Amino acid sequence: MATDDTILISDSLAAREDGLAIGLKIPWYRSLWVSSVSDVVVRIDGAEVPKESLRAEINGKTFTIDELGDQWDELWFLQDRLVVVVPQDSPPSKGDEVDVEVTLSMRMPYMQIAPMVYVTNHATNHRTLVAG
Amino acid sequence: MTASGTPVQGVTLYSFTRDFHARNHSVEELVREAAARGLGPGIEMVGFQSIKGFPAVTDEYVDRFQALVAETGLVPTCLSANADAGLRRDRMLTDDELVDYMAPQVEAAARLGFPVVRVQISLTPDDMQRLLPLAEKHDVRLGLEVHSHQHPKHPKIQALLERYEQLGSHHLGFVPDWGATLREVPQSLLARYRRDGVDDELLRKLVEAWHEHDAEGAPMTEEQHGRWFRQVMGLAHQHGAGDRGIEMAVNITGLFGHAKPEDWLELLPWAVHMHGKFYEIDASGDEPSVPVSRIVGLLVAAGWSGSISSEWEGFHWNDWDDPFDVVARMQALMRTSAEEAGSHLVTDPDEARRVLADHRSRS
Repeated sequence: MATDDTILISDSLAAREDGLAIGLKIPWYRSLWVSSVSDVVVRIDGAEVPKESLRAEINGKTFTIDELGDQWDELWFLQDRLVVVVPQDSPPSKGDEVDVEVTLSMRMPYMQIAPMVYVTNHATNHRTLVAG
Repeated sequence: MTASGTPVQGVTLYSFTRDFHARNHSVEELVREAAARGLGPGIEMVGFQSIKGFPAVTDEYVDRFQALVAETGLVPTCLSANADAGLRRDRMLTDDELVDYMAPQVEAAARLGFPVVRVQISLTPDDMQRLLPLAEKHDVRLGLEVHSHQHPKHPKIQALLERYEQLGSHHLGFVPDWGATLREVPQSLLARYRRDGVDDELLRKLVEAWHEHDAEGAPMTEEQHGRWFRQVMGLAHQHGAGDRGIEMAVNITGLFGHAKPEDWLELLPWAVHMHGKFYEIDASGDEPSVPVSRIVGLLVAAGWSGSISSEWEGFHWNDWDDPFDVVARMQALMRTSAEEAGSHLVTDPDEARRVLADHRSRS
């Protein structure tokens, strides 16, 4: 588990009244603009969560996954977490274990390899996490 | 005869990325710890790593940082900046927008007291020329990092050198990164792969591939680098390490450069700062992958007296060594190497300020 491939950590998962909140570490060594996030895929107990239903919270603001790519003036600071919210009708309670898999794709805006093609880091983590 | 150089010791907070990223330490704690362990006097940081809200920097932040510098007696050497030309997903920044993007970063460096701003290879000679008025306005030096898989003789670097010579401004230069001049694949990376169950035959072939590339010489074209990259990916796939193929290819063909230490000499008149990149220090106190001793010897003999940030990048795979300890051991190696070359590495803050002011006025 290194700087550039770790997004889930032991305290990533929180239970909320209306779903799960998954706090992601940025899989890089520096802060990046939120526009660098090119995709987020979440699986709970092996089932992919529809992307349209996901929300991402950062810097006190909430976005859909598709909107993240337009946020070129919101910085994801290295020590901050991007919180991905998964809506659920009957969310787990604090202390419950949940099987979580997240793939986060990030485009490096300063590492262009061809016109409009960037080095992209795809970080996938699959863990059983305890809801906090 | 050229007077012996007296390079200035220092460290970049990038060496402590693992702890900072894990929220184990604040920047203030890292700076105090670096100072307490004598890893200065030079101190470098990456703006987009260490400063929340960068490139915006408040007056309060500047005051706090300057108080921290005064308290610790450290000497700011370099602020690393980034040219995020792909900031927007729909289009590249225009030339003017890229200059506007860099402006607050350069201004932040000046306000925080960093005399050098590190920029990266995505910037062309034209970009550097467009940024020159900004550097002059804030009286900082823009140092383009020469980082593997680029190297001093690479056409992109040679094109920059040619432009620098035409412009003749001491506000433009290079930041050589010693990762461009390796002599061996780091043992710690192989140890990591072994721990993770990568088979010994693949490890042997990875090292063999690196040595084949080394015999071929540092890549002069993207095609050559691409060919190496695909070769290593292929090896990984043949040996069932498919998922790690990209990482292996990035490491073997991207991080561990094949240039010769002597190649740095051509860039020295334009070297405004250096990244003393290293990966590991063995039981005898040597660096088996980066020829630290050889490079320091060359710098001293050539009369180069700029600042060197020890930059430990082993943290990408090595989670067993203490970053502060390994930096201290690398700096001991640099000091011994400078002494063996008949000079010394500057560790006193007052001497460092004098030496760096003189270096700046002469290059």
